[in-house]
Formats: sequence, structure tokens, C-alpha cells
Amino acid sequence: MTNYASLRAPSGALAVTVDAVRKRFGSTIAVDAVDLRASGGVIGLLGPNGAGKTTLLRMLATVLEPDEGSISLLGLDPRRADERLAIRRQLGYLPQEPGLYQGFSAFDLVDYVAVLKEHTDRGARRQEVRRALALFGITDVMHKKIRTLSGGTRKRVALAAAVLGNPTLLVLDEPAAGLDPEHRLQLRSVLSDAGSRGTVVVSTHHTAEAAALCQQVVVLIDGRVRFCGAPSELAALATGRVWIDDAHDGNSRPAGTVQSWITAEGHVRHIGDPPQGAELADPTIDDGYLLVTHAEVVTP
Amino acid sequence: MTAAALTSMTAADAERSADRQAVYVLAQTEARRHLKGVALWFGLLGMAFTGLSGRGSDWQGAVYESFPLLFVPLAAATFLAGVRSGGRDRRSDLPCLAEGAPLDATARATGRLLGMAPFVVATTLAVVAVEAGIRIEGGHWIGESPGRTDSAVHTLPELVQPIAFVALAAVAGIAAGRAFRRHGPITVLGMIVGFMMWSVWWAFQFMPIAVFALVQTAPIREYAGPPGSDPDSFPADWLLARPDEYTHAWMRVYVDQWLSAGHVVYLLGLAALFTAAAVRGSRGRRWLLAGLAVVAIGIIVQLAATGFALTPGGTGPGQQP
Repeated sequence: MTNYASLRAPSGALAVTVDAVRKRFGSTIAVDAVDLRASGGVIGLLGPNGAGKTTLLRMLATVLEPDEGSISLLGLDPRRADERLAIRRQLGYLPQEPGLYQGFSAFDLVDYVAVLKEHTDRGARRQEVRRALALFGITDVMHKKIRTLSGGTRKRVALAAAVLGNPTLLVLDEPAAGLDPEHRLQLRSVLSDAGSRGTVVVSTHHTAEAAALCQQVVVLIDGRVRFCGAPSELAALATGRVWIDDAHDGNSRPAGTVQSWITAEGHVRHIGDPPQGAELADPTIDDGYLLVTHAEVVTP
Repeated sequence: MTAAALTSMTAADAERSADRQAVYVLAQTEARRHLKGVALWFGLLGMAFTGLSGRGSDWQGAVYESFPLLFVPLAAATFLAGVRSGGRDRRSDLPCLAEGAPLDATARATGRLLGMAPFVVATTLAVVAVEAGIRIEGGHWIGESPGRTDSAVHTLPELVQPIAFVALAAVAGIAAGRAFRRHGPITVLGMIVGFMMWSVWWAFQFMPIAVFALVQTAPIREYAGPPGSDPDSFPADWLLARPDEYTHAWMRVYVDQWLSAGHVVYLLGLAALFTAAAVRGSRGRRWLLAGLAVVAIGIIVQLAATGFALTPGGTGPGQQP
């Protein structure tokens, strides 16, 4: 089924090594002096829109070359054509917009991607396609044309295409976007399984998703890494900066707070400096992320 | 040679083989889609329509010369299918599918080029079927009395020309699909070219334009004598066309196998040039050089066959003084 590359990751090599990588588009610096190390598990990239997540993931997916710095994937150098091919044989990539062919059925499309991934044995390939579609619960609509599927189902088709052949390195750009809660949980299960066998780098806007799934989170802002560590460490950055206040006066935000909102319980939750009379609350990853993005905490 | 070097060579060979095998599988996948799609069948339908509508023509050589025109609808459909296939990863509103997959753009283009095989195979079968029908019926009428035949059959280069033409359309479609993000204008352009080749084909059948035209019909006409000439005064083995409202002279009509063969070579050269545009890179440069050489050979062979008749008013065969 899979054609194994002669070039393999040297044993003990880090799955992802990013050293001082910089990427520009005209005068815009999309990724600026980024360092990253990953050797298995699920790594989450967090950051606001335009932070450089997609550019970094495209470089990790070998479709974009850095202007400066170096990237090593599975111990191989993606700048060398033969090593890039070897990486691609062990890579699954979900771009932000997967470019699905609208006139294909879901099955035919994933089968087509399997061919592009060098799954040449027809019987084994079709079996693998069915397995990937079943992982995301698409078997019942697999003969429908892509153009007739909902946005969430299309995303699941693209995910099925990305996980074909159980890649050693999975690079996924906002895989949970557009998925309903049930399928988001399904995705978690697939990704945690993939992370236990290899390395998954995933970008997301959902901090809760990152907290639930990732062993390591990286917060990118303006192309730079502002935080890198475990989700609990990101949450811990907000220790002593989260407050609950029973009394609230409309939507006003007390001075010194980064964000305030009324919770489902009717309390006001403040992030930042303590408002008068507020009580200290347990921080979450959301709180830590918010403080990092507002440059309210100094990260190592 | 060391064992390590041998192992390395074997691994490299295995990789190349895996890559090549994947390209063939991609070609098969594309071919299956073409067989399931409408373009091929519409093309064959258009071919049948052209064949049936041309049977009533009643001047000498009319049915004989309509043979390559039969395949213009099929070539147009082939071009459109090629644009669709070659442009799968280059649509204005969509990014490339599976960008990080091992098969890169060149390998995909190669697979898609090979995947156009059903169109070429269908054309070959159609050529064989049509020519078999012609031969069963006894052949075609060419020439007026006294030199007249009703048993003219097409020569081998004439039979190969539609196959080369459809192959060219396939390759041009793949190249255009890969080159242009917006497929609408290129599709319209393809349809216009196809329509011109089909409806006003005669406008391109004079020297030296016929050398460069995509469709070249036979028999070709060569000035024989003024309208008042006695047809018996011409050599007995000549086939003649009498003066009519379009040609105010006696014309000699004949089939030149070298001209037809040169035209096939010219079409194949153009196909090689479009292959260069489709695959690009170092392999594309090799196709470009080969294509230029083959096109040049095809043109030279044709010009030599017509006595280097470079202008319509020249003195070479096929021209009127």
C-alpha cells in the first residue's frame, strides 16, 4: 500500500526542528525568528488572525521555504528534493482551504489524494480510503459530490484525506473550524491517537481545544513565538490575574483589566488587575492566552 | 563499487520506480474519469454528426477531404477535457489539492497527460472504423472525367493525422489548464479555434497556410490550365477538378503522402511543445528542444513536398500563377 521511502528519519531525531526561521511576503514579516522543537505528541499553535500560524504550517508541510533559518522534519532537510520527497511520504497536511475538487464524490476525492500520496495498489488503497472516511464518519455520504456537502462535512473529507496512510507527521491548519461539537470530539480522538504514534502540529483558535488535546502549545503573535509550553503552564501565567466580582454595573470594564465579561452564573470575570471587592479565581488557558496576546505577561 | 553504494542505488531506483508507478496509477485514475465523463462521448457524437452531414456533398473529392474534419469535434472535446484535468490544481477560486503530497506538479501533469489516452485510443479506433467503412463501400470519388476514380482510399499519413491532431488537443488542454487560473476564456478560445477548423476549414487550405494549419485536407489542388482547356489535353494519369464558381481554372488534384506525413510530424512537434508547457522544469526544457526540432522537420518536409511554395502567388505545385 504505502511506498516506503529509503530516506527515513534518523532514530532519535526530533520530528520537528525549527531554527530562527523567518518568512516575508513583500514588506510583511509573516514569521520572524521562530524556534520550535517537537518530538511526538500533539502541538497546538495558538494566535490571533495574521499571527503567522498558516505560514509556519505551510513551511512545516514543505510547501513553502523559509527565507532565513532552517527547518528539519523527521530528521530530514526539506530544501533537498530527495529528502523533501521522503518527508512528504510520511506527511499528512490539511491546509486552511483544502481545495477539494467540487465535481468529485467524497470517496473519489480521498481516493485521488491517496494516489497523489503514492498508494498504488488499488485494493489496499480503497480499503485505506474507506478506513479514513470511517474515522470521520463520512461513509454514509461518501458517494455524494463535494459540492453538495455541507462545510463541516467537506472539512471532514479533507481531514480524511490528510490522515491517509497514518502519517508520521500531521500538519493541520484549523482542523476543528466548522465542525460541530460531536465531530470536534471525534477529531480529538483521531488526533490524540495520531499523536501517540507520531507528531501532530495543529493550529487552532479554540484554546479549549488546545487545552484538551495538546501536550505543548505555542502562542504566535506578529510572527513571533510569545509562549511555548504545556497548556497548564499557559493557564498558570494568569495565576493571580483572574477575578470574580458579584457586583457589576452594566458593561463597564474597570481600569487595569484586559477583559471583563459576565459569566453564565451572572458573575463578572475580570482578567488583569483586581477590581475593588473582587475575589481571586482559578485561571484557565483562555485567561493565560488573553494575557499573552495583550502582552500582559512576560513569557520565558 | 561498495555495498553501501549498491544499496543506495537500489533504494534510489526503488524510489524512482514508486514515483513512476504512482504517475501511472494517476493516469489510470484520470483515464477512468474521462471514460465516465461526458466530453469523450459528446466528441464522438459530434464526430458522427459531422460524418453524416458531410455525406451529401456532391463535388469531386468532397467526402474524401472531409475525413480529417470528422475529428474536429472530438479534438475540441478533448481540449476541454484536458483543460479540466490539467487545471485541477489551478482554479481561480481554489488552492492546490494535497499540496504536501509526494506527487509534485510535474508528476501530476505527467499523469494527467497520460490520462488523456482514452481520447487518443478512441480516435484511433474511430479512424480504423471509418476507413474500414470507406474501404468496404469501395472508396471515394476524386477527379472529373476523363481522369476520375471512385475508389480512392486514404493513405497512411492521412489516417494518422486525426490521431496526431487529437493528441495535440489533449496536450494543449493539459498545458492550458495548468497555465491559466481562469478556465472560462481559454475554453472559449478553444471552442473558437475548434469551430474555425470545423466550419471554415477551407480558408486554411492554400499554400503555405495549409502547412501550418491544424487541419490539413487532401487532395490538394494544383493549377492545371485555363477554363477553356480541353481536359483530354492533360496527362491521362492526372485527376482533375473542373472550373467552378470558386476556382476559375482546371486544377490537378492529388494526394501527396510526403505533405501529409510532414504535417503529422508538425502536429507531433506542436504536441511536444505543449508537453513542455505542461510538465515544465528540466524535463520541460528537453521537450521544448525536441518539439522545436520536430516542428522544424515537419515544416521543412511539407515545404519540400510543395516545392517550397511560400506564397499563394508563387510558382510551386498547388499554386495558381
